[in-house]
Amino acid sequence: MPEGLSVKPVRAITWSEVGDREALLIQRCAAHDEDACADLVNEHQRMVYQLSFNLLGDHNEALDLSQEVFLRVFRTIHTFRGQSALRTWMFRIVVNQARNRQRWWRRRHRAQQVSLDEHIRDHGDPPEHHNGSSPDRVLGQKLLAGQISAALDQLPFDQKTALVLREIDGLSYEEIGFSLGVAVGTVKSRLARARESLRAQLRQI
Amino acid sequence: MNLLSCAGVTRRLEAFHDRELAVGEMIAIETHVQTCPPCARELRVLRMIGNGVRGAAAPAPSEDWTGLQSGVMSRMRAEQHESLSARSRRMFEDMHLVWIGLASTAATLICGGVVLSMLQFASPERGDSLAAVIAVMSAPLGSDLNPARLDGFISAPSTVPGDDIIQATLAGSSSRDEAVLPLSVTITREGRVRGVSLLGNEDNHDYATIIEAMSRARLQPAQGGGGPVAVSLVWLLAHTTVKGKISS
Repeated sequence: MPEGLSVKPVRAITWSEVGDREALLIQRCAAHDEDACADLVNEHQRMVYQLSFNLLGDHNEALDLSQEVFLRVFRTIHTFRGQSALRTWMFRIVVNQARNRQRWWRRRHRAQQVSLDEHIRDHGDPPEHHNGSSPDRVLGQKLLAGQISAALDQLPFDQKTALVLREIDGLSYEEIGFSLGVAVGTVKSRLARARESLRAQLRQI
Repeated sequence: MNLLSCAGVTRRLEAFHDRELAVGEMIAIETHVQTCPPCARELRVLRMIGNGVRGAAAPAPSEDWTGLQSGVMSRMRAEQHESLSARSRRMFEDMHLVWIGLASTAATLICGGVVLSMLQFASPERGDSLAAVIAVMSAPLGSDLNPARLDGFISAPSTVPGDDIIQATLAGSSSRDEAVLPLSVTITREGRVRGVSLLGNEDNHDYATIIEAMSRARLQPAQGGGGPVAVSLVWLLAHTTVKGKISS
């Protein structure tokens, strides 16, 4: 086996692989069919909202961003050529919109940024996940999630996005690269830097 | 299957964790970490980070996005009926692209202005530059750019009958009684005098009038090979005063 790092080859998706049902739905949305648009929102709203929430960390902001994303999708869906899965294309829109919103937010509310301790005090600890484990284990997981949540908020937007898309949404490097508009090598370096930052946080626990 | 070193495994560990390696490499690394505690510890840390990120971003309850669909649909309908001015305003809501466009346009204009001003104020081609030397060497011998030397095969240029501008100028300008001026000149194919300069240690300033008069002179061009040719030559200009003896 060669020592150089090899990566699993990924094929580009073609229209035929998008799926007949999805292709039909896209065509109907491009023709401004309201029922089709409603179906598309219904199908992807959870994914769009969840990613928005993970990137922005605020329910109202995430809900507003999700609406913006779907409106943007319907405005530009006629330009969708099946160069990726519809889901990946929508991820890209979410990321771009979230980046714009965060940039806008930072410009206007730079003075109102709060420390991590204040954030945890105001918003409370992250939600618990009971999976039948012992109380000690649950407590440990809760502490870890709290630390990582705080550390995630400290990461640069692009690193945080790459990590969220990989660990939570399970996107491949190729799909993350498409969503962020960067090369696979850049995705790998962003993931490595994000993990290194989180690892540094974990060492302090 | 070749065994991987710890360094090789460490380099691939993130890709392994993300399941982005080919099957063969996945198996090789899986085998390695089962027998190598340091690499296994690194992998555990990666997995712990992944679990932590997933734990920190718990799935939101479905109530969180209740009303999203109806909100989107009502805004879509509103957009379809909005006026042209409202649509234009919306196009410029996100001004950062507009600023980028304006900044790049301004940068292009500034660069264009700098280039044009450099062309405007750049000095003309120097005579001793490589380009000028190549241009002279590539010009045919006897042309104005590459004048020939006056030898036995070329007849010397001569004055045009009736043109007495040189004599008149010399008579009026020289303050000395006796003078021999060696001048380096080029006579073009049209008979014009170019590049007049005084040889030797004489001060050009003393003979500026003569040099200017020489430059304006028109001669019959040198002849060689059946036609006029440009030649470079040394022109000796003698000014002699003959004084007669006055008999008493």
